[in-house]
Amino acid sequence: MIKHRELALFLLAASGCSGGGASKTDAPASADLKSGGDATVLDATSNAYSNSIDRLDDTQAGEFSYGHSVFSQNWVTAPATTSGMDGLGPIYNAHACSSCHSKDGRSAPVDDNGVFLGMLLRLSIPGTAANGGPNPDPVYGDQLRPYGILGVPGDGTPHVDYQETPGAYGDGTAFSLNTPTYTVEGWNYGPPSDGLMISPRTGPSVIGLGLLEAVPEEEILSNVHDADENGVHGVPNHVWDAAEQATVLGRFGWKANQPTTLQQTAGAFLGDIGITSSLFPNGTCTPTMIRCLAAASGADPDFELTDSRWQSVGFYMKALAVPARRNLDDPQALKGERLFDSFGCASCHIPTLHTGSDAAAAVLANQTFHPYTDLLLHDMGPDLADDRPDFEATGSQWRTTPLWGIGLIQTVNHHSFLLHDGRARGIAEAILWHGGEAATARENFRLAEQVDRDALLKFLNSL
Amino acid sequence: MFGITEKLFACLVVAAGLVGCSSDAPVTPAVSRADVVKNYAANLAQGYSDAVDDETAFKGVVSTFLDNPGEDTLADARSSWLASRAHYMLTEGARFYDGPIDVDPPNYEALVNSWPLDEAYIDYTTAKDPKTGAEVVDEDNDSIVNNPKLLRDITAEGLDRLNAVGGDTNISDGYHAVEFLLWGQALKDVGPGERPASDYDLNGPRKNPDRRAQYLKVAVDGIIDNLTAVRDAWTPTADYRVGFEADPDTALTNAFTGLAKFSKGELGSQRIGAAYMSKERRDQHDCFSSETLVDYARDARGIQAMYLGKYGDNDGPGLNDLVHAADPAIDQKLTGMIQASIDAIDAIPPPFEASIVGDDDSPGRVAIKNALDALSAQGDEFGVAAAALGLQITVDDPAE
Repeated sequence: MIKHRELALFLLAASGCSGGGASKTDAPASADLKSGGDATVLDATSNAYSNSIDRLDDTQAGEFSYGHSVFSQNWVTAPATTSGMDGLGPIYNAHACSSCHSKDGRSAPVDDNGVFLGMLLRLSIPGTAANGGPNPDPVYGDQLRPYGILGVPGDGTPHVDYQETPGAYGDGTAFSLNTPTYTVEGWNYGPPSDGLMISPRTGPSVIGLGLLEAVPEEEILSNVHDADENGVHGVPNHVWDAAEQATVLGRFGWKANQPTTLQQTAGAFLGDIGITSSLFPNGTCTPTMIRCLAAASGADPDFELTDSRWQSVGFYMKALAVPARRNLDDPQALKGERLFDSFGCASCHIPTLHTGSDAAAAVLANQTFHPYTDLLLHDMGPDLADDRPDFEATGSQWRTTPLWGIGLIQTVNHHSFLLHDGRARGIAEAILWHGGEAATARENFRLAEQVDRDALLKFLNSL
Repeated sequence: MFGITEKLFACLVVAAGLVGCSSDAPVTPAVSRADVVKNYAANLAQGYSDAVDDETAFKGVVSTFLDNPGEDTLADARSSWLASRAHYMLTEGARFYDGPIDVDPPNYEALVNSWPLDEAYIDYTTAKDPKTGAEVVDEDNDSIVNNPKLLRDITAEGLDRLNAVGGDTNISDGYHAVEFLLWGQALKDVGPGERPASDYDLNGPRKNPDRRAQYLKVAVDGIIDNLTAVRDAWTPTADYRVGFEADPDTALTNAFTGLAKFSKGELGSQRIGAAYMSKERRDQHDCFSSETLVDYARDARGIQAMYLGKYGDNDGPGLNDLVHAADPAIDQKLTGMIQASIDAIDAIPPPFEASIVGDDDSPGRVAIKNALDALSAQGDEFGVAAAALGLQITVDDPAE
């Protein structure tokens, strides 16, 4: 019975693959060790995400190592003798980029005591900001910063409660999903505005960004199409580019709400660490935050992050190589790859993209590579929805997450929490959370025999 | 543990082997991998033990200073601080393989040697008034020393509790906290900080001299405690040491990994390369004392000693003996590179903050770039040497 259905799905997928999926001229992804094309590194150790791409010239190599230093060093309270690294906060989520992107990967969302580690809460109120983005709370801005430098209160303490919801696979095997509820305890600057919307976000791994940035816009838009027979249709987000002062295609972030690595970086410096830059020179204290406003600044003279630090840390992330696939000769993993296609996963997690000639470094240009994303938004259903619009993304739309490197999170970061808020404990739960456009694919997984489910997981863990 | 006679004997055997073999045929090592690992561990254990003794001696000098704060006793404390790091620096090549010094948690390295230090978290700071350019001392700041409401009693436990912010902490302890408490902020373009001894005088002009003194004591005690824990993990009967010696191939992989990454990623890229890129005067580890180059020179000599199997008066079987037996040319090249990086660091005109600025063809920056390049090449060559022993190490991933 199941075999029959599988075959039918395979035929459907084969006939209906006009929009998504690898183009016909590409070798199947299964034949390719090089997940990142020439920007691939053979490393499956705990440092798998931290390698530079090959063929950097001397200047680029220097920039990479400088960028790594900026990425991993703690920022300190201003004023300090080390004037280049001062200006933490005054309110903040983390001291360093690497606090949430540990070893260039993803930190666990919360620790055993529920203290937030690699996760933050985005905030907004109904309406739209002038740039078309989320409308920030007038007091708390667009994210909750739990911490302040000594003497400055943070915004409040984020809290998550989890509730187990039982479910079962088609063969009767039980599973349980962990449903989170987010609250904020002890708002330190008074109650937030009515209608406050909260969206939890974890810091993703930062590999392969130079490849994703170099995919021509036309290729991303070529995967936009009308709903297929399973209702799958990706749509782009259009977001504000602060450097260009224009609305452009979004491609980074959980909602594809950032246009470039550099803007994402400057935004995270400001929002997460409280470090101003030439792109975002204004601090985050709002008028009622008296002690925050009175705190010393590390600006020298106009902002805190020098352009050379900013550019270097941006280059560093663009030049982080993608770890190679493993288990290429494993029949179970290869079977799982076929199921990934026949279940419908590959409709959104499309295996293959290409870069153009315009890229940050030589080995990033003109590549065929395998991120397993279309960089587009898809409706993921009510269970995953944050009900908070973000530019053109609705509260239930999320950008397809790249799957490369997913099998190494445990090795690098010593946990297996997945999805935008880390609620899924491993890949199987992450799949089971999929809804909306992905409901059919999820059901194909849920109703499959265990041997097939295991094969799919084996494949995903080989990435 | 390994006397001079044994080493001499080993050298003779190696030399005899060389004479008797053509260079492309691997010779049978005159020393075993197990012997080299044992010597490496013994030297490292002695290094951490000496570091604990250094810090304990330093504690006595600090007590004398705090009992009688004056410029002369402060000068003694400062020179004793510099001396207190002499042996610790020699051990830094043993990082980056999750050994007792930096396995996380507890990551003792981060507790004893983290940088940059969060000065304003600890004590008063001085800043230029943006309008007048005058230097303004802010001693009513929300620092631990100056705001007792934040932490009434300055104790190790209290500091830890205050600093327990998720998985992330302010850097407020270790050698550089002590350095800051002795020298103060370095406000001039060149040279150390000029904190007056009267900062610790109960009748001096600055507020909270007693709390400052207490912070200094607690910081020194913290270094002693943390180094003691590392030392104890390397004592001959400790589980870690026993396990380390029981698996010589893994131990050697770790030893080469540490030396490679410390050379290239840490001492090279992070400590020297980042400052070379930023051109910021105080982008240097010992920014308060202006003694950065002293520590870099110690670090480089520590790498050399670790490779050669030497420590103090002990000259035992070293990694070099194994590499030499496997491929004399690689050993010769690596030995030369290690000496070259030492010479390159010694050739940087002190102080570091004067040499880091200027055009790339200024003598200081040329010398710093030479040191950086030498350390980078040396790190890669440690990888080549490890491969010659059949060991696979990763040199290139950045040191965390």
